[in-house]
Amino acid sequence: MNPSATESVLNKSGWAPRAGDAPIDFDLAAREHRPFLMQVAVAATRNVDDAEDVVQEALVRGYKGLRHFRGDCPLRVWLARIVVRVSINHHRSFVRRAKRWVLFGDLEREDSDGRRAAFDAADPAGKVELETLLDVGRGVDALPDEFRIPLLMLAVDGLTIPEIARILEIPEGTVKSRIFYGRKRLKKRLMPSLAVRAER
Amino acid sequence: MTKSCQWVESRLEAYVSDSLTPAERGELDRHASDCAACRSELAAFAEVDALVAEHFRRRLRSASRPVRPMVRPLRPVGVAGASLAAVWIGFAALGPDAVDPDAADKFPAALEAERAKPDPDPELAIPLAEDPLQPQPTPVVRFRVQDAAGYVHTLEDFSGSVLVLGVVDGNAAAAADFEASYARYTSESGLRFLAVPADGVDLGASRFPTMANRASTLMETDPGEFTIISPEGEVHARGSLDNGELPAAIDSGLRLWRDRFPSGP
Repeated sequence: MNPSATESVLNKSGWAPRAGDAPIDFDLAAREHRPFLMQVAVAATRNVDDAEDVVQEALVRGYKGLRHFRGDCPLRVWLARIVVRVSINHHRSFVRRAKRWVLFGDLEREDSDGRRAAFDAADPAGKVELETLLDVGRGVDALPDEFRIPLLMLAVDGLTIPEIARILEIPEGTVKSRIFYGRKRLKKRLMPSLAVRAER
Repeated sequence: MTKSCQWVESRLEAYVSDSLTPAERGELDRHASDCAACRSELAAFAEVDALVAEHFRRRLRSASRPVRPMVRPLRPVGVAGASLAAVWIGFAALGPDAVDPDAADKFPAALEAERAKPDPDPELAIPLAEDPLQPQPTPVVRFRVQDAAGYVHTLEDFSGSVLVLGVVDGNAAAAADFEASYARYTSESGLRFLAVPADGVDLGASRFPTMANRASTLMETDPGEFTIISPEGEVHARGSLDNGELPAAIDSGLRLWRDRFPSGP
């Protein structure tokens, strides 16, 4: 594949296939977008341990279904759309449950250097109380998917409201509205522990 | 002269999503600089945003950390333990490829192997048995109500309109607010109102349309809350019935309907 064609595939501003275009180097595109897709998966999955599996499955589906990519959006948006769909369905996956039963993978962790990770440090800088962060996690998890996913996607590096709208295939106004109501619900839930309240 | 707190409240959504015009934003900032309550409200939103961002970073760190499955000595106890041990040994016999922490680095090879597999014929597929050790999920009905005549309605019956759904609890003030909104907006052809009483609540004297819930989640609307549902049947907005946010949400729903049907349905 020639370099200019590769650049056009990876161009975040958009790419549309035309007659005579070189085929997409999917391997290169997957490597390029993998960190972004991982962030989208972390935003969309309910169980963060599934994110890696979700990205892998989405890339396989993307590769097999590449002929359906019409080029009406950037490739990374199309792949992110698949990640979100896989994430939502993933918790029902028989394979995931079977793996969990056999490997006990979710019960304990061990870092690559061999140390056991008993508990994730809440905030290395120590600015946020652990209890508050746990409460935020519980509050976010309690939100329905339609509010939770756009709210968390807003934290993905470089992801904008128009892109979230294209990934979720809903109007921008609906994305803004859902993010707002998600924030509002969280604010209501977290009000007792917010610093703002303490200053009142 | 600066705007009122109510004006600020009605523009909070646009403010936090950065959709206000520069003039409106300036007006709102001027009000907030003089009003402690509004300043505190805006600061709370900013704090929630920062907490959500920190929560997301923490999840990302957790997901990105290399993890390998722990291998623990098994202590089979009785028949059940022996069965589990047999399953475990069976998987161990598959060799290191069965659990490969570096699978991500072997992506192209894995893809080629995956692509080489023929697509399963959906008609020949044998449905996988549900895991008998897990509680089986019960189907969730998101919206099903019954009118006074006994007819059951689903969301499809409201498609094409923006549905203002309120789940009214025993709060009389909230019910009165819902009724006031109904009276104010009932002439809008794109809107339909529906109140569903929470368990044990009697809405007999109300003027707005009511129907009874029939074992549905009412689009995940809790008692005392409202949900604005788009003409396509998606949740557009939610909120609480008791803090005066319903009119702003209805206005937002009305704008949505006018966007969808600029020249009427």
